[in-house]
Amino acid sequence: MKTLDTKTDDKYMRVESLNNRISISNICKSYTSDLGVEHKVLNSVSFEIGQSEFVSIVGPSGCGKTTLLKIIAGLISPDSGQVTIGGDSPSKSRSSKSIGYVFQDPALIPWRTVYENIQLPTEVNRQTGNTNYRNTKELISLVGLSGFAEHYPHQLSGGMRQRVSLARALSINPKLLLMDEPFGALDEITREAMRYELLDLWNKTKPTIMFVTHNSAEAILLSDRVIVMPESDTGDTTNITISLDRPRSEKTESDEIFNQLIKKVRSSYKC
Amino acid sequence: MLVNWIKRIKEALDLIVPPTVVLLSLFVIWEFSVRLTGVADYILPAPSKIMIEIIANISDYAFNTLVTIGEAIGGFILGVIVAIVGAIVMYQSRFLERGLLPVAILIKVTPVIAIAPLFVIWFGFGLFPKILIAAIITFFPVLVNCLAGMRATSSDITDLLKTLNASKFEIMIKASIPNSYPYLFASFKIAIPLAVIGAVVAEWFTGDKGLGSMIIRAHNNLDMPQLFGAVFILAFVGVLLTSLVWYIEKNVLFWHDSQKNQNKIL
Repeated sequence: MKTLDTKTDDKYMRVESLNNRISISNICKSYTSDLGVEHKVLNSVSFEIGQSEFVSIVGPSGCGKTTLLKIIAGLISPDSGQVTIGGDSPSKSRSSKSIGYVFQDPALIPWRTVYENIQLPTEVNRQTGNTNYRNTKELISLVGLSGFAEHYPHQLSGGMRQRVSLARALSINPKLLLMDEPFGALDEITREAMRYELLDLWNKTKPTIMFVTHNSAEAILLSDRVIVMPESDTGDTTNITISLDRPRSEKTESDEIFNQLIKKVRSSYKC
Repeated sequence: MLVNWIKRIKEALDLIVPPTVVLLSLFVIWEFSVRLTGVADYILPAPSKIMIEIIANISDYAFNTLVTIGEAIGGFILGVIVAIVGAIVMYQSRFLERGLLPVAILIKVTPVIAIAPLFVIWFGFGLFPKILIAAIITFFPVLVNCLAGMRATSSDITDLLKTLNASKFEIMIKASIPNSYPYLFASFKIAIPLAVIGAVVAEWFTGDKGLGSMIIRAHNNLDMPQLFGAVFILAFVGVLLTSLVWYIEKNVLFWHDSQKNQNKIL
């Protein structure tokens, strides 16, 4: 299985410091169903992500995108293979609180206010050395929720809840931000607005982002690089570098290159 | 401000008037049927007679009511504490759950009426056996609901806490236990009238205090106005305690879906 090369020849690649790379090598994972049939979801998946790089993972449902994110976060362990985050294992990264996670469901705690929800990650696992927290008030205004600090999740719209979830993930200043179809449950208009807000946030805070989606246009608009996961366990992942100018805007979406990239991503779905 | 108050009073009246009208009509029908048919007092007394009986012996009723409420609430609190501790213990491991839950079910399926006389022999005629029986009745619904509520915590939230390396204890304190509150209150609403029943049943067997003993005494004397008086007050106590639980629930669970369509009065 080849390790996918990162095209370094284009000027849009960010400066990478070796010690903050995320390296995924030869990850395999299979599940056994109730009927005893073994189902291979990840077959020797390998790639690397540079510091502050924005990488999207696209692929059909059931191709193991979520499983891959959970393996990187250390929530499940792979059958074989290795993940390192800035040289550390997932469990070490967890104990130093350097991983942020955003789910499709905002997963806010309903009995906590916006402010308290964003503070949650700083309250647990206090013995960690990481105290490099972001100021909660600043985060609230960063995600555009000034004036809503004392509101409860049930008083917010879907888009606002997802902004809180994003602010919560950023509160610990993560090295790596994992996003599992974070805008999947939002309506199209909110979804479009959230994409640009996320880009703006990324620009201001610069975490490395792994963004799972099955919307190719979304992946291309946001990312430095798109990794397409194969449908079947025999296919290889495909790496597509997105050489669109930043900052990106609605204009980017009408760009000719943008449309070509969409075709390219879609064609690599079918392998 | 004033408009707001008028609105609240109107909402209160909307809630109180319909049941009051229905109840009063039932009492009026009862009163007239008894008077017209001339049924004897020792079979079915008229509501007016029952009211007169209660008012005439109000201090007696007040004292016995306080005793029964005290036993019921004491038993309820004891049962809830043991149930929550039990649920937390069972939440730790499936092994403990499989081991302890059958014991809890065994306690639940044993008829309390069958144990009550035994408790008299063991614990005497004081308040304790009554509190204990109320606690045993309360215990099971609270235990099962608390456990179900803790287990129903969103897996996204527990996953999130795990990515932060939160300890099992932290996950329980920050997520699982508060997540069980809606389930707990549902069980409290079932358990509080049960606790009153437990206290009354225990009083039938022992002692001379409380509304339960009053009922037995009245029954032995064929004093139906007194028996009905005690029953009326028990019903009222049940309504009062259940309303209290609803009121506390409304203030604790303001964030939960179940509170969205509640009337604003309680």
